[in-house]
Amino acid sequence: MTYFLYTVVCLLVVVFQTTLPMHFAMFGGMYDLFLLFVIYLGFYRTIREGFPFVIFFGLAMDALSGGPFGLYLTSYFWLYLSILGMIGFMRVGNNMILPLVVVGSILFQNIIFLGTMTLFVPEAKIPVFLYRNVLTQVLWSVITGPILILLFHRAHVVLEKWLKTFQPEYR
Amino acid sequence: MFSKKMIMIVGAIILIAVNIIILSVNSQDRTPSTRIGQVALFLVSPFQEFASNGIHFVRNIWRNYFDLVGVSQENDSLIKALKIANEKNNSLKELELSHARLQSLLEFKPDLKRQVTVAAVVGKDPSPWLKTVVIDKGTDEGIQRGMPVVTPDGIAGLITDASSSYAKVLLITDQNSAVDALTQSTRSRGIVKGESSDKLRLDYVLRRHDITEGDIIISSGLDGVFPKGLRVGYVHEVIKPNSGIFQKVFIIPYVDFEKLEEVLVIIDSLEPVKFSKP
Repeated sequence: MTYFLYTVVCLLVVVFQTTLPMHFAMFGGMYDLFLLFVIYLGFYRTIREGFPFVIFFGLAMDALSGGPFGLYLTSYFWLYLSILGMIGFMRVGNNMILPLVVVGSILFQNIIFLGTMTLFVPEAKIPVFLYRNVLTQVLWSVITGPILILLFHRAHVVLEKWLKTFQPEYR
Repeated sequence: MFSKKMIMIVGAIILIAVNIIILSVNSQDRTPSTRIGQVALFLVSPFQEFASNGIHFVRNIWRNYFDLVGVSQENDSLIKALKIANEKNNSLKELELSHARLQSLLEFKPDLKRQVTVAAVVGKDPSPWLKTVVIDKGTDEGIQRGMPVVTPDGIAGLITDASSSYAKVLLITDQNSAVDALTQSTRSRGIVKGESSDKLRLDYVLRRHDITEGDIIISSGLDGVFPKGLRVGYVHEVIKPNSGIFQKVFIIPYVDFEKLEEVLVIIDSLEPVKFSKP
Protein backbone atom coordinates (compact mmCIF):
# COMPACT_ATOMS: atom_id res chain seq x y z
CA MET A 1 0.00 0.00 0.00
CA THR A 2 2.87 2.36 0.85
CA TYR A 3 4.45 1.77 -2.56
CA PHE A 4 1.11 2.44 -4.24
CA LEU A 5 0.79 5.67 -2.26
CA TYR A 6 4.30 6.74 -3.28
CA THR A 7 3.59 5.95 -6.94
CA VAL A 8 0.41 8.04 -6.87
CA VAL A 9 2.23 10.91 -5.14
CA CYS A 10 5.04 10.63 -7.69
CA LEU A 11 2.56 10.90 -10.56
CA LEU A 12 0.70 13.81 -8.96
CA VAL A 13 3.92 15.70 -8.33
CA VAL A 14 5.10 15.18 -11.92
CA VAL A 15 1.79 16.33 -13.34
CA PHE A 16 1.61 19.26 -10.91
CA GLN A 17 5.04 20.62 -11.60
CA THR A 18 5.07 20.05 -15.35
CA THR A 19 1.55 21.29 -16.11
CA LEU A 20 0.62 24.05 -13.68
CA PRO A 21 3.51 26.45 -14.43
CA MET A 22 2.36 26.48 -18.07
CA HIS A 23 -1.01 27.91 -17.14
CA PHE A 24 -0.31 29.90 -13.99
CA ALA A 25 2.69 32.19 -14.08
CA MET A 26 2.87 32.32 -10.27
CA PHE A 27 4.04 28.69 -10.25
CA GLY A 28 6.78 29.43 -12.79
CA GLY A 29 9.47 29.90 -10.17
CA MET A 30 8.44 26.88 -8.14
CA TYR A 31 11.14 24.54 -6.85
CA ASP A 32 11.33 20.80 -7.50
CA LEU A 33 8.67 19.27 -5.25
CA PHE A 34 10.33 15.87 -5.41
CA LEU A 35 13.02 17.25 -3.14
CA LEU A 36 10.45 17.42 -0.35
CA PHE A 37 9.61 13.79 -0.91
CA VAL A 38 13.27 12.81 -0.87
CA ILE A 39 13.65 14.69 2.43
CA TYR A 40 10.58 12.95 3.80
CA LEU A 41 11.87 9.52 2.80
CA GLY A 42 15.28 10.27 4.29
CA PHE A 43 13.94 11.62 7.57
CA TYR A 44 10.93 9.46 8.32
CA ARG A 45 11.18 6.20 6.38
CA THR A 46 13.56 3.26 6.26
CA ILE A 47 16.32 2.95 3.65
CA ARG A 48 14.69 -0.21 2.28
CA GLU A 49 11.51 1.72 1.63
CA GLY A 50 13.02 5.04 0.58
CA PHE A 51 16.03 4.18 -1.55
CA PRO A 52 14.22 2.39 -4.44
CA PHE A 53 11.81 5.32 -4.73
CA VAL A 54 14.58 7.89 -4.76
CA ILE A 55 16.12 6.03 -7.71
CA PHE A 56 12.70 5.67 -9.34
CA PHE A 57 11.90 9.39 -8.95
CA GLY A 58 15.28 10.31 -10.36
CA LEU A 59 14.92 8.11 -13.41
CA ALA A 60 11.34 9.30 -14.01
CA MET A 61 12.30 12.95 -13.85
CA ASP A 62 15.37 12.44 -16.04
CA ALA A 63 13.23 10.65 -18.59
CA LEU A 64 10.76 13.54 -18.76
CA SER A 65 13.29 16.32 -18.54
CA GLY A 66 15.35 17.76 -21.37
CA GLY A 67 18.51 17.95 -19.29
CA PRO A 68 21.49 15.59 -19.38
CA PHE A 69 20.33 12.13 -18.36
CA GLY A 70 21.21 11.48 -14.73
CA LEU A 71 20.96 15.09 -13.55
CA TYR A 72 17.85 14.66 -11.41
CA LEU A 73 18.98 11.20 -10.29
CA THR A 74 22.29 12.66 -9.14
CA SER A 75 20.63 15.42 -7.11
CA TYR A 76 18.09 13.08 -5.46
CA PHE A 77 20.64 10.35 -4.76
CA TRP A 78 23.22 12.59 -3.08
CA LEU A 79 20.57 14.56 -1.23
CA TYR A 80 19.14 11.31 0.13
CA LEU A 81 22.59 10.12 1.23
CA SER A 82 23.29 13.50 2.85
CA ILE A 83 20.03 13.34 4.80
CA LEU A 84 20.83 9.80 5.97
CA GLY A 85 24.19 11.10 7.10
CA MET A 86 22.56 14.05 8.90
CA ILE A 87 20.20 11.78 10.80
CA GLY A 88 23.25 10.36 12.58
CA PHE A 89 23.77 13.56 14.53
CA MET A 90 20.38 15.30 14.38
CA ARG A 91 17.10 14.65 16.12
CA VAL A 92 14.49 13.77 13.48
CA GLY A 93 11.56 14.88 15.62
CA ASN A 94 12.82 18.47 15.69
CA ASN A 95 10.66 20.18 13.09
CA MET A 96 12.44 23.49 13.50
CA ILE A 97 15.32 22.28 11.33
CA LEU A 98 13.03 21.37 8.41
CA PRO A 99 13.06 24.85 6.78
CA LEU A 100 16.86 24.79 6.87
CA VAL A 101 17.00 21.30 5.37
CA VAL A 102 14.52 22.28 2.64
CA VAL A 103 16.42 25.45 1.71
CA GLY A 104 19.70 23.53 1.82
CA SER A 105 18.24 20.92 -0.54
CA ILE A 106 17.05 23.57 -3.02
CA LEU A 107 20.49 25.18 -3.05
CA PHE A 108 22.16 21.77 -3.33
CA GLN A 109 20.08 20.85 -6.39
CA ASN A 110 20.68 24.22 -8.03
CA ILE A 111 24.42 23.86 -7.51
CA ILE A 112 24.38 20.41 -9.12
CA PHE A 113 22.25 21.63 -12.04
CA LEU A 114 24.23 24.78 -12.69
CA GLY A 115 27.54 23.06 -12.08
CA THR A 116 26.72 20.35 -14.60
CA MET A 117 25.39 22.79 -17.16
CA THR A 118 28.23 25.27 -16.93
CA LEU A 119 31.04 22.74 -16.65
CA PHE A 120 30.00 20.01 -19.04
CA VAL A 121 27.62 21.52 -21.62
CA PRO A 122 29.70 23.00 -24.45
CA GLU A 123 29.63 26.82 -24.61
CA ALA A 124 27.08 27.05 -21.80
CA LYS A 125 27.06 30.16 -19.66
CA ILE A 126 25.68 30.95 -16.24
CA PRO A 127 21.99 31.79 -16.78
CA VAL A 128 21.16 35.49 -16.61
CA PHE A 129 18.35 35.16 -14.07
CA LEU A 130 20.42 33.03 -11.70
CA TYR A 131 19.84 34.99 -8.49
CA ARG A 132 16.19 35.76 -9.22
CA ASN A 133 15.37 32.11 -9.98
CA VAL A 134 17.20 30.72 -6.97
CA LEU A 135 15.72 33.34 -4.64
CA THR A 136 12.20 32.62 -5.89
CA GLN A 137 12.71 28.92 -5.31
CA VAL A 138 14.09 29.49 -1.82
CA LEU A 139 11.17 31.75 -0.87
CA TRP A 140 8.63 29.26 -2.19
CA SER A 141 10.34 26.41 -0.37
CA VAL A 142 10.60 28.22 2.98
CA ILE A 143 6.88 28.96 2.91
CA THR A 144 5.54 25.67 1.60
CA GLY A 145 8.25 23.01 2.04
CA PRO A 146 8.10 22.20 5.78
CA ILE A 147 4.28 22.39 5.79
CA LEU A 148 3.98 19.95 2.89
CA ILE A 149 6.47 17.50 4.44
CA LEU A 150 4.68 17.53 7.80
CA LEU A 151 1.25 17.25 6.15
CA PHE A 152 2.35 14.26 4.13
CA HIS A 153 3.96 12.65 7.18
CA ARG A 154 0.78 13.11 9.17
CA ALA A 155 -1.38 11.76 6.33
CA HIS A 156 0.88 8.75 5.94
CA VAL A 157 0.74 7.95 9.68
CA VAL A 158 -3.07 8.22 9.70
CA LEU A 159 -3.32 6.04 6.59
CA GLU A 160 -1.07 3.37 8.09
CA LYS A 161 -3.11 3.33 11.31
CA TRP A 162 -6.32 3.04 9.33
CA LEU A 163 -4.92 0.19 7.23
CA LYS A 164 -3.82 -1.68 10.37
CA THR A 165 -7.42 -1.83 11.55
CA PHE A 166 -8.11 -4.20 8.65
CA GLN A 167 -5.43 -6.66 9.81
CA PRO A 168 -6.82 -9.74 11.67
CA GLU A 169 -5.01 -9.17 14.99
CA TYR A 170 -6.60 -5.74 15.33
CA ARG A 171 -10.15 -6.99 14.84
CA MET B 1 43.31 -4.56 6.70
CA PHE B 2 41.13 -1.56 5.87
CA SER B 3 38.79 0.04 8.36
CA LYS B 4 35.08 0.34 7.58
CA LYS B 5 35.41 4.12 7.52
CA MET B 6 38.21 3.94 4.96
CA ILE B 7 36.18 1.63 2.70
CA MET B 8 33.23 4.01 2.87
CA ILE B 9 35.36 7.03 1.97
CA VAL B 10 36.97 5.23 -0.98
CA GLY B 11 33.53 3.99 -2.08
CA ALA B 12 32.10 7.50 -1.93
CA ILE B 13 35.01 8.91 -3.96
CA ILE B 14 34.57 6.22 -6.63
CA LEU B 15 30.82 6.86 -6.71
CA ILE B 16 31.32 10.62 -7.13
CA ALA B 17 33.88 10.04 -9.89
CA VAL B 18 31.55 7.66 -11.76
CA ASN B 19 28.68 10.12 -11.31
CA ILE B 20 30.72 13.01 -12.72
CA ILE B 21 31.83 10.91 -15.70
CA ILE B 22 28.25 9.84 -16.48
CA LEU B 23 26.99 13.44 -16.27
CA SER B 24 29.88 14.67 -18.37
CA VAL B 25 29.20 12.09 -21.11
CA ASN B 26 25.44 12.70 -21.08
CA SER B 27 25.93 16.48 -21.16
CA GLN B 28 27.80 16.25 -24.46
CA ASP B 29 24.78 14.72 -26.17
CA ARG B 30 21.59 15.80 -24.51
CA THR B 31 19.34 14.41 -27.18
CA PRO B 32 19.76 10.65 -27.13
CA SER B 33 16.46 8.84 -27.44
CA THR B 34 16.24 6.39 -24.55
CA ARG B 35 13.79 3.59 -24.01
CA ILE B 36 13.21 4.88 -20.46
CA GLY B 37 12.39 8.32 -21.85
CA GLN B 38 9.85 6.92 -24.29
CA VAL B 39 8.24 4.74 -21.62
CA ALA B 40 8.06 7.69 -19.19
CA LEU B 41 6.52 9.89 -21.90
CA PHE B 42 4.03 7.15 -22.71
CA LEU B 43 3.02 6.67 -19.06
CA VAL B 44 3.02 10.21 -17.72
CA SER B 45 1.97 12.35 -20.66
CA PRO B 46 -1.69 11.17 -20.70
CA PHE B 47 -2.01 12.49 -17.14
CA GLN B 48 -0.31 15.73 -18.16
CA GLU B 49 -2.72 16.01 -21.06
CA PHE B 50 -5.66 15.31 -18.77
CA ALA B 51 -4.54 17.96 -16.28
CA SER B 52 -3.81 20.46 -19.04
CA ASN B 53 -7.19 19.88 -20.67
CA GLY B 54 -8.89 20.19 -17.27
CA ILE B 55 -7.26 23.57 -16.68
CA HIS B 56 -8.21 24.67 -20.21
CA PHE B 57 -11.79 23.57 -19.61
CA VAL B 58 -12.12 25.51 -16.37
CA ARG B 59 -10.44 28.54 -17.91
CA ASN B 60 -12.76 28.44 -20.92
CA ILE B 61 -15.79 28.31 -18.66
CA TRP B 62 -14.43 31.29 -16.79
CA ARG B 63 -13.74 33.21 -19.96
CA ASN B 64 -16.99 32.33 -21.69
CA TYR B 65 -19.50 32.65 -18.91
CA PHE B 66 -18.13 34.92 -16.23
CA ASP B 67 -15.59 37.18 -17.83
CA LEU B 68 -17.97 39.13 -20.08
CA VAL B 69 -17.29 42.59 -18.70
CA GLY B 70 -14.87 43.73 -21.34
CA VAL B 71 -16.39 41.83 -24.26
CA SER B 72 -18.15 44.81 -25.81
CA GLN B 73 -15.00 46.95 -25.82
CA GLU B 74 -12.99 44.01 -27.07
CA ASN B 75 -15.51 43.52 -29.86
CA ASP B 76 -15.10 47.14 -31.00
CA SER B 77 -11.33 46.86 -31.00
CA LEU B 78 -11.53 43.54 -32.85
CA ILE B 79 -13.73 45.09 -35.55
CA LYS B 80 -11.14 47.83 -35.97
CA ALA B 81 -8.35 45.26 -36.07
CA LEU B 82 -10.28 43.27 -38.66
CA LYS B 83 -10.61 46.33 -40.89
CA ILE B 84 -6.89 46.94 -40.66
CA ALA B 85 -6.23 43.25 -41.33
CA ASN B 86 -8.49 43.38 -44.39
CA GLU B 87 -6.56 46.33 -45.74
CA LYS B 88 -3.32 44.51 -45.09
CA ASN B 89 -4.73 41.42 -46.73
CA ASN B 90 -5.51 43.39 -49.86
CA SER B 91 -2.01 44.80 -50.05
CA LEU B 92 -0.58 41.34 -49.44
CA LYS B 93 -2.67 39.94 -52.28
CA GLU B 94 -1.19 42.60 -54.51
CA LEU B 95 2.25 41.67 -53.29
CA GLU B 96 1.53 37.99 -53.89
CA LEU B 97 0.51 38.70 -57.46
CA SER B 98 3.58 40.80 -58.12
CA HIS B 99 5.73 38.14 -56.46
CA ALA B 100 4.23 35.46 -58.69
CA ARG B 101 4.97 37.57 -61.73
CA LEU B 102 8.55 38.19 -60.64
CA GLN B 103 9.01 34.53 -59.75
CA SER B 104 7.90 33.43 -63.17
CA LEU B 105 10.20 35.98 -64.68
CA LEU B 106 13.16 34.68 -62.75
CA GLU B 107 12.10 31.07 -63.36
CA PHE B 108 12.23 30.20 -59.67
CA LYS B 109 11.01 26.81 -58.65
CA PRO B 110 7.88 27.14 -56.50
CA ASP B 111 8.35 26.35 -52.84
CA LEU B 112 6.67 23.10 -51.85
CA LYS B 113 3.77 23.34 -49.44
CA ARG B 114 4.95 21.94 -46.16
CA GLN B 115 3.08 19.26 -44.31
CA VAL B 116 2.57 20.28 -40.72
CA THR B 117 0.93 18.73 -37.67
CA VAL B 118 -0.72 20.84 -35.01
CA ALA B 119 0.09 19.76 -31.46
CA ALA B 120 -0.85 21.02 -28.02
CA VAL B 121 1.72 21.60 -25.30
CA VAL B 122 0.81 19.39 -22.34
CA GLY B 123 3.84 19.68 -20.07
CA LYS B 124 7.06 21.55 -19.47
CA ASP B 125 10.32 20.91 -17.69
CA PRO B 126 10.00 21.81 -14.01
CA SER B 127 13.52 23.18 -13.77
CA PRO B 128 13.94 26.86 -14.74
CA TRP B 129 17.35 25.98 -16.19
CA LEU B 130 16.04 23.49 -18.77
CA LYS B 131 13.74 24.61 -21.55
CA THR B 132 11.78 21.67 -22.91
CA VAL B 133 8.08 20.98 -23.36
CA VAL B 134 6.01 17.87 -24.06
CA ILE B 135 3.49 17.91 -26.92
CA ASP B 136 0.51 15.61 -27.47
CA LYS B 137 1.58 14.17 -30.85
CA GLY B 138 4.12 11.42 -31.45
CA THR B 139 5.40 8.89 -33.93
CA ASP B 140 1.83 7.78 -34.74
CA GLU B 141 1.35 11.18 -36.42
CA GLY B 142 4.67 10.93 -38.23
CA ILE B 143 6.70 12.95 -35.75
CA GLN B 144 10.36 12.01 -35.47
CA ARG B 145 13.42 13.29 -33.67
CA GLY B 146 15.03 16.29 -35.30
CA MET B 147 11.86 17.74 -36.81
CA PRO B 148 11.43 21.52 -36.50
CA VAL B 149 8.69 22.92 -34.30
CA VAL B 150 7.28 26.35 -35.11
CA THR B 151 4.38 28.65 -34.27
CA PRO B 152 2.75 31.30 -36.46
CA ASP B 153 5.05 33.80 -34.69
CA GLY B 154 8.29 31.99 -35.43
CA ILE B 155 10.59 29.10 -34.56
CA ALA B 156 9.88 27.32 -31.26
CA GLY B 157 12.35 24.42 -31.16
CA LEU B 158 12.96 20.89 -32.37
CA ILE B 159 11.84 17.38 -31.46
CA THR B 160 14.38 15.54 -29.31
CA ASP B 161 12.42 12.44 -28.36
CA ALA B 162 9.13 10.89 -29.39
CA SER B 163 6.94 8.09 -28.11
CA SER B 164 3.88 6.82 -30.00
CA SER B 165 1.59 9.64 -28.84
CA TYR B 166 3.85 12.27 -27.30
CA ALA B 167 7.07 14.05 -28.08
CA LYS B 168 9.63 16.17 -26.27
CA VAL B 169 10.60 19.54 -27.75
CA LEU B 170 13.87 21.32 -27.00
CA LEU B 171 13.01 25.04 -27.15
CA ILE B 172 15.35 27.50 -28.84
CA THR B 173 15.72 29.27 -25.48
CA ASP B 174 17.57 26.23 -24.05
CA GLN B 175 21.33 26.58 -23.72
CA ASN B 176 21.79 23.43 -25.78
CA SER B 177 19.81 24.78 -28.73
CA ALA B 178 21.36 26.28 -31.88
CA VAL B 179 19.76 27.67 -35.03
CA ASP B 180 21.68 28.86 -38.08
CA ALA B 181 20.29 32.31 -38.80
CA LEU B 182 20.53 35.51 -40.85
CA THR B 183 19.59 39.11 -40.32
CA GLN B 184 16.79 39.81 -42.77
CA SER B 185 18.07 43.18 -43.95
CA THR B 186 21.86 42.77 -44.15
CA ARG B 187 22.03 38.94 -44.49
CA SER B 188 24.69 38.73 -41.77
CA ARG B 189 24.99 35.12 -40.67
CA GLY B 190 25.29 33.71 -37.15
CA ILE B 191 24.15 31.01 -34.78
CA VAL B 192 21.19 31.72 -32.52
CA LYS B 193 21.75 30.16 -29.10
CA GLY B 194 19.55 29.92 -26.03
CA GLU B 195 20.36 31.75 -22.83
CA SER B 196 18.00 29.84 -20.50
CA SER B 197 16.04 33.09 -20.20
CA ASP B 198 13.52 34.97 -22.34
CA LYS B 199 16.32 36.20 -24.62
CA LEU B 200 18.54 34.60 -27.26
CA ARG B 201 21.97 35.54 -28.50
CA LEU B 202 23.34 35.55 -32.03
CA ASP B 203 26.88 34.18 -31.96
CA TYR B 204 29.68 34.34 -34.53
CA VAL B 205 28.54 37.56 -36.22
CA LEU B 206 31.57 39.39 -37.60
CA ARG B 207 32.24 42.86 -36.20
CA ARG B 208 32.31 44.40 -39.64
CA HIS B 209 28.67 43.48 -40.25
CA ASP B 210 26.27 46.30 -39.56
CA ILE B 211 23.49 45.14 -37.27
CA THR B 212 21.09 47.52 -35.58
CA GLU B 213 18.45 47.15 -32.91
CA GLY B 214 15.14 46.01 -34.35
CA ASP B 215 16.66 43.99 -37.19
CA ILE B 216 14.67 40.84 -37.85
CA ILE B 217 16.46 37.49 -37.51
CA ILE B 218 15.34 34.62 -39.73
CA SER B 219 16.50 31.04 -40.14
CA SER B 220 19.10 30.53 -42.85
CA GLY B 221 18.14 26.93 -43.64
CA LEU B 222 21.82 25.97 -43.57
CA ASP B 223 21.58 23.89 -40.39
CA GLY B 224 19.53 21.24 -42.15
CA VAL B 225 16.77 21.47 -39.55
CA PHE B 226 14.77 24.66 -39.95
CA PRO B 227 13.52 25.74 -43.36
CA LYS B 228 14.90 29.03 -44.64
CA GLY B 229 13.05 32.25 -43.88
CA LEU B 230 11.29 31.38 -40.61
CA ARG B 231 11.27 34.23 -38.14
CA VAL B 232 13.31 33.77 -34.97
CA GLY B 233 13.22 37.17 -33.26
CA TYR B 234 14.40 40.75 -33.47
CA VAL B 235 17.64 42.34 -32.34
CA HIS B 236 17.38 43.82 -28.87
CA GLU B 237 20.98 44.82 -28.16
CA VAL B 238 24.25 44.93 -30.06
CA ILE B 239 27.59 45.11 -28.28
CA LYS B 240 30.74 45.62 -30.33
CA PRO B 241 33.72 44.84 -28.09
CA ASN B 242 36.96 46.73 -28.62
CA SER B 243 38.82 43.54 -29.40
CA GLY B 244 37.87 40.26 -31.08
CA ILE B 245 36.38 39.48 -34.45
CA PHE B 246 32.79 38.89 -33.37
CA GLN B 247 30.12 41.17 -31.95
CA LYS B 248 27.58 40.29 -29.27
CA VAL B 249 23.99 40.37 -30.49
CA PHE B 250 21.03 39.74 -28.20
CA ILE B 251 17.64 38.82 -29.60
CA ILE B 252 14.09 38.82 -28.28
CA PRO B 253 12.24 35.82 -29.74
CA TYR B 254 8.92 36.37 -31.47
CA VAL B 255 7.45 33.33 -29.78
CA ASP B 256 6.17 33.96 -26.26
CA PHE B 257 7.43 30.78 -24.59
CA GLU B 258 5.58 31.52 -21.36
CA LYS B 259 2.28 31.29 -23.22
CA LEU B 260 3.12 28.48 -25.60
CA GLU B 261 -0.01 26.36 -25.95
CA GLU B 262 -0.10 25.08 -29.52
CA VAL B 263 2.74 24.42 -31.94
CA LEU B 264 3.20 23.21 -35.50
CA VAL B 265 5.59 20.38 -36.25
CA ILE B 266 6.94 20.52 -39.80
CA ILE B 267 6.79 16.92 -40.93
CA ASP B 268 8.39 17.13 -44.35
CA SER B 269 10.76 20.07 -44.03
CA LEU B 270 14.06 18.40 -44.66
CA GLU B 271 15.77 15.18 -43.76
CA PRO B 272 15.47 14.74 -39.97
CA VAL B 273 18.68 15.54 -38.15
CA LYS B 274 20.88 12.61 -37.26
CA PHE B 275 22.32 13.18 -33.81
CA SER B 276 25.92 12.15 -33.70
CA LYS B 277 27.96 11.38 -30.64
CA PRO B 278 30.98 13.63 -30.18
